[in-house]
Formats: sequence, C-alpha cells, structure tokens
Amino acid sequence: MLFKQWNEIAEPRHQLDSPVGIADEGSLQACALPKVSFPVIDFKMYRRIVLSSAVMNPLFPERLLKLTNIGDMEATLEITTVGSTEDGAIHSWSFDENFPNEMDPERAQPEETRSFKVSTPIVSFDDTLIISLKENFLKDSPIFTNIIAERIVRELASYGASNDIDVVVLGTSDQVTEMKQVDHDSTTLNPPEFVTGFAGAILTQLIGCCIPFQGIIAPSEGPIGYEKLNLVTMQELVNLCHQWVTVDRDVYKNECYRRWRLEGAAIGAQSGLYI
Amino acid sequence: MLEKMREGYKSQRIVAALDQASVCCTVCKLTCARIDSVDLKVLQKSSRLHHLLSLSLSWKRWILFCIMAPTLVVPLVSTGNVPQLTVDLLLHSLSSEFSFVRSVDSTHLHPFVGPLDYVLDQPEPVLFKKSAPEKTYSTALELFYNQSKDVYVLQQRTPVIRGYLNNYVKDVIIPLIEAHDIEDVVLLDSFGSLDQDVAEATTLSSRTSSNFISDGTCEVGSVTDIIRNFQQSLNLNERSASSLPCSLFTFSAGSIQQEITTKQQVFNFAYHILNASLPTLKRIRYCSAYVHEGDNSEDAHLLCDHLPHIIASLGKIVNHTPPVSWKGVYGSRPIPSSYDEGVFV
Repeated sequence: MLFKQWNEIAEPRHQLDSPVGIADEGSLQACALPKVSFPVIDFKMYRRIVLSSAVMNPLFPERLLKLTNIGDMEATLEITTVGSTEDGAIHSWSFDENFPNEMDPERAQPEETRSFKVSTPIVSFDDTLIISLKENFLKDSPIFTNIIAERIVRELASYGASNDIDVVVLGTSDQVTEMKQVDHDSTTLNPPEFVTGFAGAILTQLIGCCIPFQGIIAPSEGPIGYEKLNLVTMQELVNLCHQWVTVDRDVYKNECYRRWRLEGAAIGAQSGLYI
Repeated sequence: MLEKMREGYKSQRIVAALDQASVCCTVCKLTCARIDSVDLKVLQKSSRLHHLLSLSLSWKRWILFCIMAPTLVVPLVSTGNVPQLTVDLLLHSLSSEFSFVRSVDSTHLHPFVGPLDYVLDQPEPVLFKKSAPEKTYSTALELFYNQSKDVYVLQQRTPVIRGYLNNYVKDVIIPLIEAHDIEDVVLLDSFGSLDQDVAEATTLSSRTSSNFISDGTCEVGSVTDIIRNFQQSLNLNERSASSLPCSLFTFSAGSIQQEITTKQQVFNFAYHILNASLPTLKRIRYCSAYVHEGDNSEDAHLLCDHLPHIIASLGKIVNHTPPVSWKGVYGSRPIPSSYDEGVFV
C-alpha cells in the first residue's frame, strides 16, 4: 500500500510538497516540534466529540445550531534562524543618500526566530463538542496535523474517553469513490484506499491509543485544505449529521447546502453560477 | 572457536544448534574439529558457495545460524517508490514467515491510515493475523519480523515531512536498532536520471552499464576503527591513498553509484546511525536501484531478487506475490465521464 500524491505538477511521485519550517534544509540538526496549548474542557458535559477538518464545517452551521466557542487550541512552532554567513552587497555609493526613504539593509536587524501558528476553535452545541482543523497544504506543514492530533487524543485518553463519550471522525479522502465506514474494529475501506490529512492523523492516534471510535470517510477531490464534495456525498453527510441536531430537518438541510456552496466546498458544476 | 561463537550470539536457539555440532557432514566429511579451525569469516563467505548445498541438514542449519545476524531493512521513500514496493513484495511473498510486530511512531511522516493489505488468493491478511488477529488498520510505519531468518523489515508508507528527516532517524530508527540488537542495517534506495544529486556520485555510465543496482557497505566496527580510518585519511603527505577508504560506503565494482552525496537521505541515516551509541551494530548496507519513473513494479521485482545478495540468510524468493494494493498504485479511480464527476483521475 503506497502513498500517491495529488499534484498537477509533474514532480517525482515520492516528493510531497509542503511548507518547510526550518532555516537550513541541509542541516543535520533535529528540527523543533510544534507546541500545542489546549483549553480546559469539561468532557463530562458532552456525549460525543466530532473530530473533522474544515471541509465538514457546512454540516455545523454556526447560527442555526447556536455554536458556543469553548476555546482555541493553538499550535506554535518557533524556528531559530541561523545568521547568514553570506556577505551583504557592498556599494561604492551611500545607501542613505540614494535611497533616503528606504531602510539600509545593513542596519536591519536580522530576525532570530520565526514563528508559525495554527489556531483551531473548539465549539459545541447541545451535547456535542466539535474540533475542526482548518488544514492548508500550501501554508501549514503536516507536522502540525500530527502533533495536534496527538494532543487531542492524549486529552481524550487522559479523560478516559472510551467509556463516556462517543468519538466520531468525519474525514475525506480522494482515494475512495464512495462513503466508507471506519470503526475501531471494522472498516469498509479496501486496499489501495487510504486516508491522510487530519482524519488520517487522528485515526492513527486513536488506533495507537486503543480508543473506540466511529467515523465516515467521504469521497472528495482536491488537495488537503481545498477539498470538494459532490452533491450525493453531501446528501449522505447531511442525513448522517441530522441525528445529532434538534433543528427541523428541512431547515437544517437547506442551511447545510447553502454553506456548502458558499464555502467553496462544492464541485464546480454543482456550486451554481450565481450566488 | 565454538565458545567465541556462543558468546557472539545471544539466541538460545543458536546455542542449542551449536550443541549439535558433533553431527558430521555426510558429503564433505567435515568434522567438528575441522569446522572449529575454520575462521568465521570463511564460514560467512561459504554461505554462497555451492558445496553448502551438499551438506547435511544439521550442518546447513548450523552454518546458517552462524552467518545470521539480526538485520533491519529500511526502505527510503525515493524515485518510483521502488524500495517500498520491494518491501511489499518481500513481506507478502514470505507472508507465512513474516509476522507483524508493532506500529512504529509516525509523527514525522505524512499521516496515513488504510485497511490491511493482503494477497489476492489469501482468505485473510495472513501477514497481520498471525500475531495481531484484532488488527484492522495499517498505519504509516510498521515493523515486521521473520524469526527463521532473523530479519526485521520496516514498511514506510508515506514520505518523511519536509524538514523532519533528522528527527525521524534520531527518534525512530536509532531506538529501533537499539531495541532489537540489530547488527546489519540495510537501506534500500532508488534514483533516476533526473536526480542530479545522485548523478554526481555516479562513475559508471547508466547508459552503458548493465548492472542497475549499486551495493555499498559501511563497516561500522568499533569507534576505534572509525577514528583510525579518519586519522589515516587525513594523513595527506603519504601516498598510500589506494588502501584507504575514499567514501563512507565501499561500493562493489560494478555499481553505478560509487559514493553517496550529502544531499541524499542515506547520508542523514548514516551520519546519525554512526554517531549514535549502538554497540551491536556492525555494518550499514546500502542498496540503490537505478530506475525510470513510471510503472516501477518490475524494478521492485529485480530489487527483491537482489536482496539475498545483501542479506545472506534470505534465500531466493521463488514466487513473487504482490499485494492487492498494487492494483491501485497507478490510479484506482475510474476515468470520469462528465464534469460533475470531477476532472481528476
């Protein structure tokens, strides 16, 4: 079972492009890992926790479900940059005289650290807690995904999540053609289908910590953070999620579809020409 | 000699086999005394000699035990994914011998979860079910073990996250070598003509050479040996360069690749492994295949056939049985017939 990248550019298949958070790629030093701050959550108040990526946000309309913000989970990566050994440009003329309004690069203070941050709001409605990570393969390194998933599952494990709370994973994959069920003891996934991204990271951690879970992997298109769902998939997801909400079915359905189109998660022909 | 060998090998099974060494070879008439006088290195070399086939079963087992060293096979995610395909082929062709050991920490790899892979004519995933009957999913990094051949195989299903290769080697690979008292680490790699970094390190022309697989060995020995090598290498005034190692790895004569570059993954692996305190480690073997990207399944078959040359205890694999996941390596989705089905295959 192997990983096949989604990419339009003809690059070697084994190279996956992702933002690099280090100063020198040829370094032999280990790179720092992101640090995660997790808000204090009283898990006893909830019957289920939904773990998903932002593509599933249309299923949880903020106003309709009256979502409450519990806190933000923040992952921060501090990179210490090594001072460049390259000599700066040497000019025979005065920089200040020629560019009085510009800052002389020789006087500029080189930045010693660079900081990367990924913030994820944790929200709730009724007895459901939602952690939905906004991924972006262009901006955020997958190390954030892995570390955040590890922290969430660690929090669940320390609470003893296996007994009192249902863990639900809603994920997408461009490697499946129909909805796939993933539970802790069974799955309808067949080789070579697989799950990556936040859903993959969270499943890896749940499996590793032996925490019971249930979930759905929906077929999608597009790279991580820019997934598109088709109408049939959306219908199935709306039907699935309606069991957790107390709002009228038609109202909920219409709002989900509206958000689905507005947030650009709809596949081209189904997004409508005019908003 | 026997005592030395007893000390050298910790396994109780091997000691038990050595106790049976009084059994004579029926063809070569080798006695225990004669075998005693044979240097271990000669025995190691003799593993590839044809006369071994004529030895009695007990002797063959005994010599096999002597040449066996706990080995760890690590595929580097590289051009055409040939090392991973090779490991797939090795594991599933010998699925009755290999068994799943555990999932290894995959924090530094792109996330991956998939169902258990299997061979088409098997009723269940034999590779996993023997040792982990409750297992349902495969993760990005998994360890397998072949007890009869004392070979550990790591299957890495996704690439290392950019920038975290050093963390991966230091935090995952080195503890693995330490935990299982590994003596030989085998790094499988592949490169193509577009990999300029590796092309710089090739001496033979890939167009004229008929050998597409390069074999290199880095004898770790003891720290003293390494220091001595460095001291000799730095002795610039003496004209004795011919006997000194000119590269970290000593490559076989016919190899396309004759050295490694610092830009290759293998350099990071070798650097960190050599700098770690690993008392049992004896050598790092590097095996690199020259490939063209495309359908690389045939390259994997060739590299798999080559593995017994690197790992002596691994006999030739007669029947190559690829897993079902190979059917989807080059695209698993049907071609969309209309725009609303999507535009990407």
